[in-house]
Amino acid sequence: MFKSVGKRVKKYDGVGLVTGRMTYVSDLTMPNMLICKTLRSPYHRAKLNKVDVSEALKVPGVYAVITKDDVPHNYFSMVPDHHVLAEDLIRYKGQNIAAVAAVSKEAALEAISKIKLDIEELPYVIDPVEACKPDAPKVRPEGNLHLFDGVSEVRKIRKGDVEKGFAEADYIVEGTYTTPCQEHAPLETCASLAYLDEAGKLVIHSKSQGLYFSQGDLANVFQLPLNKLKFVGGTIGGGFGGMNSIHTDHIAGLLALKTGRPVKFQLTREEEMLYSTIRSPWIFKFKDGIKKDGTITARKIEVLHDCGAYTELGLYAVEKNANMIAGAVKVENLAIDSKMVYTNKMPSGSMRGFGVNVGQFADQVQIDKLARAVGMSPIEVRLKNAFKENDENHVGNKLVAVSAIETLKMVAEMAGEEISPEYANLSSK
Amino acid sequence: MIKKGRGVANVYYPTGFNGGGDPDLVSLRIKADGTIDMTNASCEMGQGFKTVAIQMAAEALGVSEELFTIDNSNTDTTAFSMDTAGSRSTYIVGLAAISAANNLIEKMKEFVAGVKGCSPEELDYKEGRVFKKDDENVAMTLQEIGTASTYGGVFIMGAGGFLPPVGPPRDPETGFTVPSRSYAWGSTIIDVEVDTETGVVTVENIYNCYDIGTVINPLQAEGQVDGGNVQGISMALFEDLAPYFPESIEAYAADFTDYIIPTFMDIPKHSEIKFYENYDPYGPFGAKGCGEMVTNTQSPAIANAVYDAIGVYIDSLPITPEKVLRALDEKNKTN
Amino acid sequence: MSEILSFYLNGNPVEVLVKPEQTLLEVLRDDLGLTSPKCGCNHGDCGACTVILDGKAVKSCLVLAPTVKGKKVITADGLCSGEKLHPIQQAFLDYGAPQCGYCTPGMVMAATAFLLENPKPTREEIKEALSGNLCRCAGYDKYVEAVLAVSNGEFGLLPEGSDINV
Repeated sequence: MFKSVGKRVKKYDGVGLVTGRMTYVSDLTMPNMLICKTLRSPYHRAKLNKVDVSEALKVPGVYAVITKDDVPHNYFSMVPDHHVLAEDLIRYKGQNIAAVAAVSKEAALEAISKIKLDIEELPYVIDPVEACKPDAPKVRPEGNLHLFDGVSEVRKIRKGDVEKGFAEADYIVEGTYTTPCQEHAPLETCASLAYLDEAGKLVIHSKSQGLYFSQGDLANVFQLPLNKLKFVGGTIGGGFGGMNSIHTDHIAGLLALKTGRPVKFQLTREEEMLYSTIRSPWIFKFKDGIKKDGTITARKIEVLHDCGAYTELGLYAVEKNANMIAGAVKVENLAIDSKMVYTNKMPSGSMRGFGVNVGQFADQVQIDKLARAVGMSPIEVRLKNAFKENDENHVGNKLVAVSAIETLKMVAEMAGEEISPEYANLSSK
Repeated sequence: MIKKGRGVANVYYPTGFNGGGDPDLVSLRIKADGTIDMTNASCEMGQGFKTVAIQMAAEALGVSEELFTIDNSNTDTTAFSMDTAGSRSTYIVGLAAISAANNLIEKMKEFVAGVKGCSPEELDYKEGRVFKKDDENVAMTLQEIGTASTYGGVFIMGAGGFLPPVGPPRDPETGFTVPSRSYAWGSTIIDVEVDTETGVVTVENIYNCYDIGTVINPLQAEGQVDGGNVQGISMALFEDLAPYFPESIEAYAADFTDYIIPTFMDIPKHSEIKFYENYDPYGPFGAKGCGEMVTNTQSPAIANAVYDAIGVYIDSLPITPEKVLRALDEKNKTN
Repeated sequence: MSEILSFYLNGNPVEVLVKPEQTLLEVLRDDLGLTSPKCGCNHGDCGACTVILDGKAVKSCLVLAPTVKGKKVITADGLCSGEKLHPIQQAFLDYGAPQCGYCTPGMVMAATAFLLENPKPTREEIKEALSGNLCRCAGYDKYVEAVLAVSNGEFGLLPEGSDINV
């Protein structure tokens, strides 16, 4: 049927990969290149009164030291509330405060050590449950809970009547699930090389997963039109969602503009681990009703997403999570309440499975508990409740090319699991 | 004592940005020798974007993928891409590539019509050749078109885009909206061994069946699944930047000595992958998104397998030996 | 004090001014301009910087540069000659082993050194030998298959008598 589609074509750039000829951003150098290092907050939450860079500027080999006052527009990210360099309220440990461009790593680090901070440590909150309480330290001046649609602390999904569903159930099963802070850990750490080209255009060799995505975001920070800002890249040493967030491009670009020289900024592995965006923690509470015959009658789900210090991609994760968390099963009576809270930790980035796989961990363990409650096999309880062709999912979206039943049956066969005749003949059609 | 258990998980995953509205553009430029430059600024981060994008453009033009180069390198000359995220690239770039290929075919027909003195409507295109419907001998190949147009001062570039329909605004009371038109589906069965002395969980066998629609490139798709398995196992058993969270966040792991990701020694002894290719009516050649879903089933399947082995659920990821031993202690106390 | 270090890099003599605290990785990348040894952690955890030093795979971020005086260093870009890939490289490519490719040159060198030592390994021996090389994308399976294929002669004989086999 197809000629090229379906073929086991080898990687287009495979020779570059196996020989090491491929140059990633971290491999790039330029004549006259300066090295960037940043000063990061030692506290989770603090009041930053003053940054004195005068001694740092005296270090031999230092070309520039920048702080928030050097940023044309000090807000970036998908929801642009993140500061490129810290303003007066520091929101997480490791937040960038100042940046140095110098002829060597050694000179840059020496200059960093000479920057004087007038800074007061403040009480902080890292536990998302604590952060929801009214007397918790305020991560953001406007409060710790996100207001959905500008008005509501709760993002709702409602279908049917969950109380009616619980009344119809023979068993009620409840569960609470948590997921941790996870790091993307690509083998190449985040890197940028920024310079001004022959026409004065700012060129940034970036590790971004979305060159245009980052360009649009940072055009705002630099206050440059799109013909004065060029992103270069497109082949990177691992992303997994982490490179949807900007970690080095903004600062390298600012320093290139300031010095007129190429500036390279690459995170150390430690910086990448400790201070880049993460898959941030979630808490899920499930209450499900199920009949003896295995029919799920109701699901009530409460979601709390710990977004970290800035929105970054946390809000998007909550939206995506909410649409998917009730699982690949029909549920007539459904109530989902999602909340997002800010805490004093590194911001929530996107990570492969983004917002969804954390919820599916909870959903799928919970479904297993339902199977055990009614004494059915875990595969058969899934088959019984599975979405079929043209079913509506939990947010009113008609489903096509549905394969919940087919993939379950096929994987059961692969693993040598018997399915009873009642379920073996089911199909999505 | 070593206890064995088996667990299952079954998920679905939307293709593209939540709520749609994330366009991509593709350009296809024919060169003097009939080879083709494709551009689109999606990111190659290992998933095989460049390879798969070329295959879909080649399919749309009915020519060999050997004819293509692809440039995804910059925001000055490479066609727009919204982002490389949300399991979107194969699907959205593929649809944009089909659109660009159709545009290229139209432009080639116009050019050939001028050369052959006929109207574009009298011409057809198939597998790298424009020819007259009523006389196939009146024809030009890609190479002939490339040479004649380039040195004839005519720029032939096909351009096309695709915008996934924008979903309606979410209803604030019911939550109703349209996250995506296309969903991938997947099921996984995992066998584990739990050492009740040490609490260590080992993944023995992993069976995956995924519906990612038409598989554009099985070699790359298998690679995605292999990697998804390892990241999924890692999420289930190892990864935690702050093990004492939420009490403390100070004990951060700062390197690969403390932040454990799997090595060759942690991969399952036995892994099987099958694709159930359920043709997606909206996707390019029937394809759906693949990248993310393949790392979603492992953590619940492992948690369920651990229960099957030792009779306790670990509801908090990762499932560390400490958590397993504490849960076993708790269970023994109550029994 | 900096000193002039001479060694053989991919069969060619090189001389370079190095500081005593510089690692081999820094010299190869920063001073000699190589891109095939990658830096993933600089701690010896990830293996992306693996090169072959006098026939043995080493993590070049853990080797002090002055200690390689007079020795033979092979890197992934030196393993192939022009267009012709080394059997390990060809096998990795054909089996679809690399994904982002950042760990791949290190993986190539670790696998090459291992096969010179143990030409007919079992699957478990391969996994153990390569377990010091981390990959975040690819899931390792296809790397194991590729090394097995090379050991079974699917990609021809491993080059003998070269600088690798000192």
